[in-house]
Amino acid sequence: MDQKKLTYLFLGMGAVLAVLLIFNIIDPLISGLIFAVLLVVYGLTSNKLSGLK
Amino acid sequence: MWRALNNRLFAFLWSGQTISRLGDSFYRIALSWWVLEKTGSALAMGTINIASMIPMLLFMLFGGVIVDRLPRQWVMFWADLLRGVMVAGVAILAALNLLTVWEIFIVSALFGLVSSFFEPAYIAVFPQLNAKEDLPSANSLTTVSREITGIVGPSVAALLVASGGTPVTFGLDALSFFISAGALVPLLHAKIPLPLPPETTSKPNVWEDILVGLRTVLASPWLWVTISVAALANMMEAGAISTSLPFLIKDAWHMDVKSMGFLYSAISVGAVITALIMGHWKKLRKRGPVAFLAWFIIGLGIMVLGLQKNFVVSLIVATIIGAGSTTFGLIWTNSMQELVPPNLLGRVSSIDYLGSFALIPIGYAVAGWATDLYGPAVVFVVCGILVSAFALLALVHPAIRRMD
Repeated sequence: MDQKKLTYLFLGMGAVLAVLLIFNIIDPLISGLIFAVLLVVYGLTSNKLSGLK
Repeated sequence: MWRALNNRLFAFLWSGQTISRLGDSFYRIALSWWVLEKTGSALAMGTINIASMIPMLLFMLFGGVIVDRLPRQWVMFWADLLRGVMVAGVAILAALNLLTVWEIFIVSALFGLVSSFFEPAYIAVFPQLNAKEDLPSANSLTTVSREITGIVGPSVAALLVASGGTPVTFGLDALSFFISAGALVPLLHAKIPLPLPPETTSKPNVWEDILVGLRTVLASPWLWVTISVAALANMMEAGAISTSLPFLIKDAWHMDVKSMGFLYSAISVGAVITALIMGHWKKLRKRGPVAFLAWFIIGLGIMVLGLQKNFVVSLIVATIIGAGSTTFGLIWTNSMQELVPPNLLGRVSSIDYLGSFALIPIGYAVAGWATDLYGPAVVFVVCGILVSAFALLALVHPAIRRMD
């Protein structure tokens, strides 16, 4: 996977979470935790792709 | 989002403060430019910033007591008027070519002193003007005004300095203070009741009043846990973002100063979007866990900035950091305004200010030293992990987990 696809995937998932949160479909705490996991995965994968050691 | 503006008095306060904030950004740019032209020294600028910060920290607790004793609208009115007169003096001296660094030192110190009265008064007057369900809207509007003037102000100020010179720019800041004081006049006539504290029945005693404020904070775990953790996390965040970011951009990412401008703008964009969304909500749920989860995410964001060098990823992460900061800030301000008794709000918010800023200079110094020694990327990763760890530490306390 390249950086562009990874970023689109992350933004897409973030947008879905934001919509679910704004319309009160998902608990703010659960959406925050999912987002934290997504951010870590995004950061670590970006590190593999463009890495700073 | 805009419903707090239906309240005429809040609309006056908010409009005046928005103009004043725009003026403040004019002042900062004009001052930096003037100091650079006259002294050419970064050290002089740093010392001027410290000259303004020290009186603010020293008098903040005292300011909180005054704010709880006197009508808050009058405290803000006089603070704006005094700052207007001081900046007008600076503008006149600059126009006559008589301004020296010494006058700037004195004015900066007095500015910090007056701000130590204004800031707690501004936070504490909100619940007196707004209904409980309008507080999220009022606080979000304040964030939006702060962030947008923060983006627009410096560019307009740069144009003003280039076309009219520093005296005109200083003069416009003075004018903005007078407009903001003028906008407070309807509040002075509105007879906003003073939240009379029970202890005013006794003879006024400043030290006793400060102690009552400190005891209030220590007696409420959600207050002292948040203020202590905020002090530690702010130190880490300020160290990374203010001290190491330019080095990360230049030495690790090999980019220029424009990239730093974009990153700061991305933080502001995240803050504005979040404030617009949160301003819609009348009641915030699970405030404790959500606030610290937001801070946990800020820590992860700081860590990710140090892990990779793709600029698009960094812009996205900076937006997330801005969103997280605003989520925490708005939940915290709303909670204080809603849960702290009105007669203690000035003192509690002054203790909060003091706690939040007290360790930041240490953060600057340690981050500077660590950046030289280990490089900026390591500083970002370590600061990020520590910010997240502090957020988790706060969540260990049941008072934070139960805070709804």
